[in-house]
Amino acid sequence: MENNGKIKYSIITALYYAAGLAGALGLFGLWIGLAEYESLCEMVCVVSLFAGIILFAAKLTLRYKGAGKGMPVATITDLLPFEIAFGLAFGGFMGTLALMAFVYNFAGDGFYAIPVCGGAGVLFFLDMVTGSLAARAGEKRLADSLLIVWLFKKLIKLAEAFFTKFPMFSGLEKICSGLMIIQVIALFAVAANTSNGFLELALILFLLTVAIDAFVLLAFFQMKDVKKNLKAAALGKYEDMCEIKHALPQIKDYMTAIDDIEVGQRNAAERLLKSERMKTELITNVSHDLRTPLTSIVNYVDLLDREKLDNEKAAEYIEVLKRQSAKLKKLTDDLIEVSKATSGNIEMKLEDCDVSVLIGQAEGEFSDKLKARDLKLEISGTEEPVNVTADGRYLWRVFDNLLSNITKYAMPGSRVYIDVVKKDEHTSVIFKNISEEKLNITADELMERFVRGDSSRSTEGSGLGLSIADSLMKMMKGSLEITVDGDLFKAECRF
Amino acid sequence: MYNVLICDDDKDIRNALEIYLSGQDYRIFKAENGEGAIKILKENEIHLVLLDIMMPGMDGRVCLTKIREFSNVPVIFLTAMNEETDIIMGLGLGADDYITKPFNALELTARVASHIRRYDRLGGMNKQEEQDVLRVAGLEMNDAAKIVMLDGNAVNLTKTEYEILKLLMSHPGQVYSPEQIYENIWNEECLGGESTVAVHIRHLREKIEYDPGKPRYLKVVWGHGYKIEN
Repeated sequence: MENNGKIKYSIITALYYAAGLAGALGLFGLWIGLAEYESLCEMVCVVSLFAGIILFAAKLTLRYKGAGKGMPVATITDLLPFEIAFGLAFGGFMGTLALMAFVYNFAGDGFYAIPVCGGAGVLFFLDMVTGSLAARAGEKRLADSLLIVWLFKKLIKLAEAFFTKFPMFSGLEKICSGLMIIQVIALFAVAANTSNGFLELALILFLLTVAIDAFVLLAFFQMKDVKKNLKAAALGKYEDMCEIKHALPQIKDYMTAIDDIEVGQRNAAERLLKSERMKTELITNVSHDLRTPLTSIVNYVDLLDREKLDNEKAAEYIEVLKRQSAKLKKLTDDLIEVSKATSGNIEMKLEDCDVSVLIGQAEGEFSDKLKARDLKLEISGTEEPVNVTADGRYLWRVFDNLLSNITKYAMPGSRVYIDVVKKDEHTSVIFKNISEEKLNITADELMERFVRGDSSRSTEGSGLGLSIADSLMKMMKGSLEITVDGDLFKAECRF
Repeated sequence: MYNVLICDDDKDIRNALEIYLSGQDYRIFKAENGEGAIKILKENEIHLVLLDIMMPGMDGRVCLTKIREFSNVPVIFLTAMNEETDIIMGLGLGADDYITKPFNALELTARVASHIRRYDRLGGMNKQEEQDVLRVAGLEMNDAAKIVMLDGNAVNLTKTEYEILKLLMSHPGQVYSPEQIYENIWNEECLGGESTVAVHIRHLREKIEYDPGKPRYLKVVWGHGYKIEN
């Protein structure tokens, strides 16, 4: 098909040029003025004119249809934008006319050949141009071949770049910049168009405007950096800040203010650190100060116990002392722990911790105690490893506290459920049990320190267990939620 | 006749300690601060030091460092803190053991006895014996004789408990998961056997620890497994 087309085109082009040549010869003959050939020449001219037109149309159609299919293309006119092509053609035409006039005025008849050839060349060129036009129309690319379109597209790209590559510019700043550019161009146009009298004035105005606009633009750019530095300061990342060279005075003030913020932040951090250190020291001292006399109490009660007093009453009193000092010891331990937990004074090593293993270990610890109260443990969700990010020691303290409570307060003979539930967003360990006594208080009240479910306070326990567990869970970026529903007591540890 | 140095800033605690240890045929020296302790150490042959960590002036840790400059005498820390970090640091500085306050009188006397005995024997023990014996502080396992001793007193263990203890003592400080322990001892795949292991561990702990609630040797690494502490 392609070759066919090419052959057709070549034939038609050849015929076309033949017609052209014939026409030219005819014209030449007429011009020479050979009387006997006059009518022949006329006929030749007319025929070749018609033929030429038809062939021309055919050629164009072929190029139009064959566009993009490998039709004879790639003439130089295909590369030129049309404005330039037509400009060249027009120039060539005028040149030819000028040559003609020149020859007519100054040279002999023989020299007419030159302009004639020139004219022929222009016509040939025009012929190619129309061919390209047809081809491009066929490819639907007419717009591409226009210089104006090309320029317009470039302008749009520039504008796009201007608006997107300066993202730090706020909308207002962008509008300002746009207006300033228009202002400059307008002034330039005015300056270019005024008569000499106003020229200097216009020029001065123009220069002034440019200067002002330059300063404003510089301020815009520097504000961009100030914004960046402010963001860095807010995050405390002072290394990310950049220095602004040749800062305008106002901008310098902003930078000084940011430096002051940095100093303020650093001072605050230091004060915080100091207060944390003081808290740790306090807890250490309190711990020591409480445990020292407690040690002596425990020791001397023990020594008394060994003394084998014959006094029955004394022996009774010693028993009381032993019991109470043990309670005091536990309370002291709990108190110190809760103060460490709530003051955030515990150093937590958060790492991967397998909850399944932990529950298994907890089961081992409590199995006898639970059996003693006839409590049956039902565990689910621990067939596979379930990892959470926590400090194993403290997570154990949480489970220890919860299971301790269960051992103390659950109804004997009932079941205790521990469910490990793993979901995408969180992992939960849920402890459920039935309470032996009526739970007269809400879950929130239970969590408070020194509150115990047993309002008679007859059992052991400091009332700090849930509070400690809650604080510890929070420090491990988790949560402890207590729900009380009738006799059902539910504690959910969630990560 | 062994000489024991008691160093604590609280008079009543010093006296209580003296009373506990006096029944054991020791000669007691007392100091109320670090400088006093060092002075006594330099002037007498001491076989064991009970050293309080928190004292005004020179605190226990500094005192220990100074002692270690010139003596290898066994030092047992008395500490009101039971933070793991403090204990590890104390042991790292050169202490041989620690006891938390308030302490158990039995535990105290047994530990003192065990450390003194070890210090004494260390020169005289022959190499062969050393190899068969797994030892961590006061806990001693003689695998050849299949005997386990805690501070000189024999401990009665079941076969399973013995095997578990042996596994853990073979690498003190290393954590073994319940799964590993099960597979090692029972030689089969652990399917749900973790709770069995946990129960055995608890029984074992009750036998070899003075205070199972605050174990000195058999520690639980929650969420991971168990280990014998150095």
